[in-house]
Amino acid sequence: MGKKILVVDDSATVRQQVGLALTQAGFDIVEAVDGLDGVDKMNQVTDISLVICDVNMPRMNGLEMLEKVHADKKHMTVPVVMLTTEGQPELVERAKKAGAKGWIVKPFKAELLVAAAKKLTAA
Amino acid sequence: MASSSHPAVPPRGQTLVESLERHRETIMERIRQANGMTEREVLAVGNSLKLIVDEARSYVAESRETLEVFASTNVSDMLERHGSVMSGFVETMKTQVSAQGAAAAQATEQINRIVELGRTIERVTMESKILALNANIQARRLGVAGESFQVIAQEMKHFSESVNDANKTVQELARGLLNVLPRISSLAAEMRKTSEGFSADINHRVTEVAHTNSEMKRGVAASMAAGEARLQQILKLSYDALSHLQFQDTVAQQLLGCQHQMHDAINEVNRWLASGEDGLADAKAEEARQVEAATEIASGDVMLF
Repeated sequence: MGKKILVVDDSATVRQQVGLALTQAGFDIVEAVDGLDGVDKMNQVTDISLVICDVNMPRMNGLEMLEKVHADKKHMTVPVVMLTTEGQPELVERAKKAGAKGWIVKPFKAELLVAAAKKLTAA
Repeated sequence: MASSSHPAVPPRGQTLVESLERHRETIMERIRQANGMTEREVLAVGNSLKLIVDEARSYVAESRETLEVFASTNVSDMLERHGSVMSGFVETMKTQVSAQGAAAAQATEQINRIVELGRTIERVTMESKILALNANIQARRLGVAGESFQVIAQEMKHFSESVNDANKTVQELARGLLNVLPRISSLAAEMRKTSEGFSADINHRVTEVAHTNSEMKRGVAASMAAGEARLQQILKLSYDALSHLQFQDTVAQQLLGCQHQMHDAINEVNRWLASGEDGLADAKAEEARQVEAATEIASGDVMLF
């Protein structure tokens, strides 16, 4: 059993690609289709070691989800990395203030994503 | 509909805006279809990629398992044990053959002593015979008085002749044995030589097989390392493929941007129709401000805080 990573993205292809890269590196993947689903999965699944989250999503976007997750005592220590096509400094700054541990701009390089995941999940 | 929020648009302009809205709807539908199609295809390619990597991983794992079983079989130890049993057997055989040779030599020596003893017996019987002859002569000289001595002399003669005959038989048997014993010694020596050759041959073969086994083990280790390297290469290639597959999401985002841009263009036309040149100038100023503010992080960047 590898460490669990929650991948939150409304794009099925991105979820699949992130999932493939991380499972090949030995991680277990939990998927969510938007921020609201992501919050539900955080509450349903135990031992999530890392959250990789898109920014622009329907129902609840990634930054809202990040703020909601980190407001919850149970999840405030779980590292969250934003994975998005957006790169505006104000968004990055907002994520940083909300406690995000990283910002990755799509399209990502699988090796770099895996390296970041390993670093952030290291005990 | 964007046009409904701008009631001041003149009727001709209203027609233009409605026409643009219809085009926008058509474009949006085509974009949805294109996105759906590329998403399905990319997901299928992703699944195939996963299967390829899983297959390669299983193949390498199975090969490794088989090779590890082979590598853990200690043929050298087995050979050493068998070789040691064989050497022990050959050594015992050599010792026994040596003992056999020594016994043959001892027997030869004893038979030689018997032959020598036979010569002594021959001499004694000869002397007894001469003694009997003399006794016979003396008995004849004595006449009637010597008749009993004559009988004894005759008996002595018969006795010495019997002893002589027996001695001859013993001598013949001893000579026969003396002829056989060197052959026994020679056979024992040959047997010893054969055992030594056999032992050397066994040792040579054990060394040869042990060498081949160690070569094979080296080959197995190299094969395992090559399999691992290939798997790593396949993983790397799959990561490259994953990077390329991400075009779909980017294209989808771009197309979504086109939709928004189309929407903005229609709104711009609306504003222009409603407010004239000033409305358009305001819109352009806002766009320029937005472009200036957007100093974005580049694609592919990973920034950990």
